[in-house]
Amino acid sequence: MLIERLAKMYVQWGEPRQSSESEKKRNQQIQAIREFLEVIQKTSENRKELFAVSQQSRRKATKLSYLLLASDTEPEAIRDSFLRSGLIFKEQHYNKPEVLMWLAGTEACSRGIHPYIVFLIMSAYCGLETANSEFLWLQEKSKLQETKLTEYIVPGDLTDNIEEALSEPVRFQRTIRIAGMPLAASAFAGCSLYYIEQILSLVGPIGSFILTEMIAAARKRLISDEICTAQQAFLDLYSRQESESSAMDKELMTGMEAFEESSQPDPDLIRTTTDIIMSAEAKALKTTLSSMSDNEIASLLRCLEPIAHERLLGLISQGRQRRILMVIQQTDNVTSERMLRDAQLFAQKLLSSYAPRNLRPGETLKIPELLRNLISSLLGRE
Amino acid sequence: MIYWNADLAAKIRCSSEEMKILPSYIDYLVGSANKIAQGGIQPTSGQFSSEKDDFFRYGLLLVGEGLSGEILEEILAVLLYVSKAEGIDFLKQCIAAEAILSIANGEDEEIMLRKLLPYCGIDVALDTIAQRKSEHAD
Repeated sequence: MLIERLAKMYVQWGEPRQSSESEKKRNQQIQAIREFLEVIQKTSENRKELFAVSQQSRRKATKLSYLLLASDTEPEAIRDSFLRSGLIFKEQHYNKPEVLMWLAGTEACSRGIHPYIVFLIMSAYCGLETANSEFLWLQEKSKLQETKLTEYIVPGDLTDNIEEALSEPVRFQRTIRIAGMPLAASAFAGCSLYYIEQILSLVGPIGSFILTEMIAAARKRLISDEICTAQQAFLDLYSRQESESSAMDKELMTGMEAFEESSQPDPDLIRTTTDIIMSAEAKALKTTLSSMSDNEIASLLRCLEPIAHERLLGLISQGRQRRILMVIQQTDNVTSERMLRDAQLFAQKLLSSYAPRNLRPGETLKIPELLRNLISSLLGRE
Repeated sequence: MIYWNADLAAKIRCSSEEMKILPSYIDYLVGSANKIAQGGIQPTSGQFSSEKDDFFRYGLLLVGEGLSGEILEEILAVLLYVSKAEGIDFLKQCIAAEAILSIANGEDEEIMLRKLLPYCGIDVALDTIAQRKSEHAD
């Protein structure tokens, strides 16, 4: 809870000592943070260079920050080092926000947080007005940065479903925030450049630059299995975010309207759809399922007997199975009309999966007689 | 356990008369959150440039960059810690910060209200929630 965090800061560091800072001093402080950002970006993990920079720093807190980062200090030990240095005091003493800013920045860096986010945390210590102007400065800086990604695709849950996922950009934006940038970037590392560009346009220039750098780093650091796992985790989070449109649809269908439309499933429909699943070739079914969304498969499962569930789920990955089951759990009762529509949609897709790409006019599809009759009977229902 | 501190208590203190503006302020924040939930954030369109509440606007800009709730909480807590606002203005900043986190985390209106309304005082919060429930029942 935010208020709890704030209260903890007050208890730990006391009320911030507000000083009537001159414009000159404020500018110096901002300059120091910008320099910190540049150095962290440039030196990356080069301890020697960080040590050299620490020797050039005049201000004690700044010097200590660089020294601690140069010596690769554990995040937990950084606070102790600041306390021992006498720059900050525990419990109720009035601490200078400037020193706390260096402590927070050093801690964030040692936790592996991206330098741009460290910059945003540090500039917040200068107050809202400065934080806002520095945010705008960082936005402009981000636009000028050039990190180019190359084409690299790792087949997985997200690459299979990215087009559909991006068709709901609001939900996708929310999933990025909930997943956090490290997980999101690891998942996007396996996506094609075409989709990465679309993803990056969903966040501002700062977020876009951070994600690009993190994607590039993930591609160097992770093996394809790990990227696959990240894709699955990201898509799981995406599935959990109920789309606004479906929530609004649900709200619209209330009271008598919902009561009137809901009815018992039609046993004949269930039997026919089950027979189709059991008679269709596995290859054609697989192709059909890969062209259907999780929601569509979840709808189809409602029109089937358990024996067909087993066959259908056996043809898809475990990650997708989990997502589909989650969709079923989150969905209320479905009307018989909707069930018929879903089953017919599936039948149409199955039919098209049997059609070869070079089908000539007048040529008939090579579908077993029984299956052909079942599909015709299902598509002819009203 | 929530830690407490006399300095923070003094900074956040305001009269019940001043607190009367809070329910409408919360309505405004919830309304903005609903708009964002429906239409999303267009990061480069200057969507929030007309937002008059500086604190809320800055928070929304950070949300638009795709930052996680955890990072946002860290930044917003610092902004509140060094804030020079006092009394009702400071309390409004605290509420705006909570609203920003709710927006980032994709929380729905009900959850958001349960987080924001207690800032109006327990009586107002309970009354408002009861009133909303009876409106829904009707």
